[in-house]
Amino acid sequence: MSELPAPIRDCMLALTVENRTPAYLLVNGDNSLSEWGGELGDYGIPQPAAGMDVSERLPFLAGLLPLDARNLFLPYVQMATGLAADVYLFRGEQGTWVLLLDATSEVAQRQHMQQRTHDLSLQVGDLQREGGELYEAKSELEQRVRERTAELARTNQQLREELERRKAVEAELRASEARFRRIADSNMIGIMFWAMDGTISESNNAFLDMLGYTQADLQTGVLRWERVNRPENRASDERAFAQMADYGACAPYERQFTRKDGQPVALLFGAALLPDSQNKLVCFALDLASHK
Amino acid sequence: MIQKKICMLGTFAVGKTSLVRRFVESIYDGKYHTTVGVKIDKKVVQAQGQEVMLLLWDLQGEESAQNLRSSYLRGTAGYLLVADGTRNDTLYAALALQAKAQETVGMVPFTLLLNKADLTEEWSISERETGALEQKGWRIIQTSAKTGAGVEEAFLTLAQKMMEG
Repeated sequence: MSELPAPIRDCMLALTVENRTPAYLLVNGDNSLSEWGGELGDYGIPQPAAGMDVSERLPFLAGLLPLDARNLFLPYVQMATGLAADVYLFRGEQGTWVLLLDATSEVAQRQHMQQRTHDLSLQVGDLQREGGELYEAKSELEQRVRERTAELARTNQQLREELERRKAVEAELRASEARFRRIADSNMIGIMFWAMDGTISESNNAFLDMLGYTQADLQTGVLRWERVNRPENRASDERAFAQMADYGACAPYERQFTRKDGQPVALLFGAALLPDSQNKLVCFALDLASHK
Repeated sequence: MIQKKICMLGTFAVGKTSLVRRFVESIYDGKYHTTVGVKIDKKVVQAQGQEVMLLLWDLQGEESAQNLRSSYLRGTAGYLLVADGTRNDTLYAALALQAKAQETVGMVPFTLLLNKADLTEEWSISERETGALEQKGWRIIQTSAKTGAGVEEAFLTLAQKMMEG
């Protein structure tokens, strides 16, 4: 740059003087002012005087003077007057030179850009934090969905197993009913269903034959317990009912019945309470006379 | 009167300017205004039984310690490192700035300020992180430029340490 021709240097100097409001100070080792020039009032020293302590007016000088061997550049120093200045300090033979150049407009431009940049950075940071929180919430939700799905799968499996068990039980029940039905339909013995209120709901033909009734009598309600019962059974019936209350069934005993034609008939009789019932019974009967 | 230069160091928007304004003028403005260059304030305090004028250099926040202009630090007697307690990354920016400051001015007193203590529900700096620094001998103070909590203590503690030195 030392090779710049004088007209160029003069032009640059003129531009600087015109645009940057230069001011200068020469400060002694004790911070006292010895020389000055330029627009010092713009930088907070409206009435400079020889010997004044400049660090009181320009606090950024405190602690820096006397300057050591190194020159110092402090860009964009905001002055009490509202100006911003680029400050250059360098040593001279008589003390430290301080050059002040107005940088207010550059600071204003930088401030505008920097404010936008920082505002955007803060917004990005906020968005990142919100994004992180959303990601955590999403992960937590996904974990809950996984747990709930697993729980539903377990419940589903339990239901399938329960269904299988029920099917097996129902199949066993149907098989049991089929076996019972086979016995009843074979008419090897008399089988009858009746309730304590005297209603006879079902009977096979063998039992009806022993009592001289028909299925039509049963369907029309002609056949009722009190019609076939006899008073001499009371004592043996009480024992049988007591056994059923205790054990659900009674030991077979000889019991007297009245046939439809009014004739008595002795049958070997047994009964059991139906499951989950206290007043419905299934009975069987054998005709003792025919066996004898 | 004794004069002591203190630099406010920290990345942008941690509350350096707000802390200085709260300390010097008892004012708080919730709107963020970025600082360009440096703004210098003064306040006289009592430390070690003497009046001391603190020269507070509120430096432009730098995201990177490499961008910190070392000329601003020349002649500093101590510094306040400022981090925003709600932004964890600002603590690590403060650590990098401390290393740069120590490299530039040597071992001078400093204090780490965790600012925005009024927003503790949004706090993101853990006790594990601060505990590790305290074990290294760092002085850490929680501050709130908004409420003023810890602000006076922060500046006066540093003033005491500078006067001891």
